[in-house]
Amino acid sequence: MNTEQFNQCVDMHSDALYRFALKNLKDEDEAREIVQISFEKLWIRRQEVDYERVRSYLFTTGYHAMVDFWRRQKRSSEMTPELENTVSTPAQEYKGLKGIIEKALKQLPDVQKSVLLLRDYEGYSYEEIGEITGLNESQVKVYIFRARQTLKQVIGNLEAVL
Amino acid sequence: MKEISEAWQMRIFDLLEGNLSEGEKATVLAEIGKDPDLQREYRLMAQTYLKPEEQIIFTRKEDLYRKPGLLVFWSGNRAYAAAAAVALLLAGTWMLWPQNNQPEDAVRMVQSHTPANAEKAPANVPAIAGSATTQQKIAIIPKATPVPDEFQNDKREFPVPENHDTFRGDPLPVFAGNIAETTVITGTDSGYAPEIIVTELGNLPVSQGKKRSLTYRLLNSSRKMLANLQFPDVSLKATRKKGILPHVEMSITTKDEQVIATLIE
Repeated sequence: MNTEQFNQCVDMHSDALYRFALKNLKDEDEAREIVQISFEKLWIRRQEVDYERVRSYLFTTGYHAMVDFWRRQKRSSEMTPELENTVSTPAQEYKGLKGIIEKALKQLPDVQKSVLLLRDYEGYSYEEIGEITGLNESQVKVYIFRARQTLKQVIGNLEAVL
Repeated sequence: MKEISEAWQMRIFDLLEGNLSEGEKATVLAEIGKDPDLQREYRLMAQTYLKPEEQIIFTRKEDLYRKPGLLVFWSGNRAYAAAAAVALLLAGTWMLWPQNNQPEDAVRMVQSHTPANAEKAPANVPAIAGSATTQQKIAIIPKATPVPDEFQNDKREFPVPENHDTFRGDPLPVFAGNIAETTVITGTDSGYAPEIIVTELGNLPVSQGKKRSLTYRLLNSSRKMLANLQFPDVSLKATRKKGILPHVEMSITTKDEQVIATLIE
């Protein structure tokens, strides 16, 4: 991959990768870091990465960077559990179906959230998601199913209230 | 409203996911058509499909673009990027310091590439070899780098301002080009690892969260710079050490020689 192709990849994939990271991490700075790390690695390995598979490479790299982030975050929250407990979300932040789904999405386990976003945002097949996340196809399917079940439950509860 | 079995939930899921054959699809649809509870289940499940929010875009593409022959080093947070540049430049300078009985000219050559002295830099600076002791073999080969016009008259102090407010508010006058065009080749025959302590970062008057962010920015900036330096066959391993204070160690390994640069916050 030459410099021009690399820059094309920035144009083509950075938005989607950023969206994916932001939706997973809910932190703009961290999401930017994920994008930057992914493209740094791509640049370093540009001679080895097949141009046709750049998108998959970027998402794989980004996903692994996010897994590292979650681990750090988990360690950090173990050290300061009180912070986690004192953060409350104002109910008015989540208005309407979109807001409700957004809230439910935040509460999904990280892996479920990631596979669901890869599926819905990027349209990846189970196989491709498996390559990115290191899961097998069956696991991917089950995680997506469980994630949809959770979202469906939340939507159903909202309907019941209304 | 009856409870929908998990088997039926899965069938509806498969239907929506496109996992069913035409025959299976027809059968499932027929069943759904007859049962209002299944219809509700189908409707709810269909609402769980997320749509990408196209309005969310990555606004810092400029930081990612590469230009042949030019280091794109100034990122969104220029001070941090500059800090990383300083760190590596300091590393080079440190290695050349007279402690190794190197000729003073060596130091002078490196300094001549600072912005304040850039106009005096010779067109082609010859390779400078550090002292080759039994412990280390270092060579830093700076090449003349054109100074951008806007910095021609830049007389700011180099390399590190004494007060941090200056550091934070006014990016250090380090040129990406100085680094980009500097080839650092080091070998550590005896495994000797130079350690560079960037105290300015550790003392920054910022919150812990910002320091954590800064640590990663520093790391990423360094990665970016190293990527642009285009060392042949370089692999980079970076780790964040456990602990309350952010701490980064970075090592660079080449096939032939090992270069260890440690950046500590």
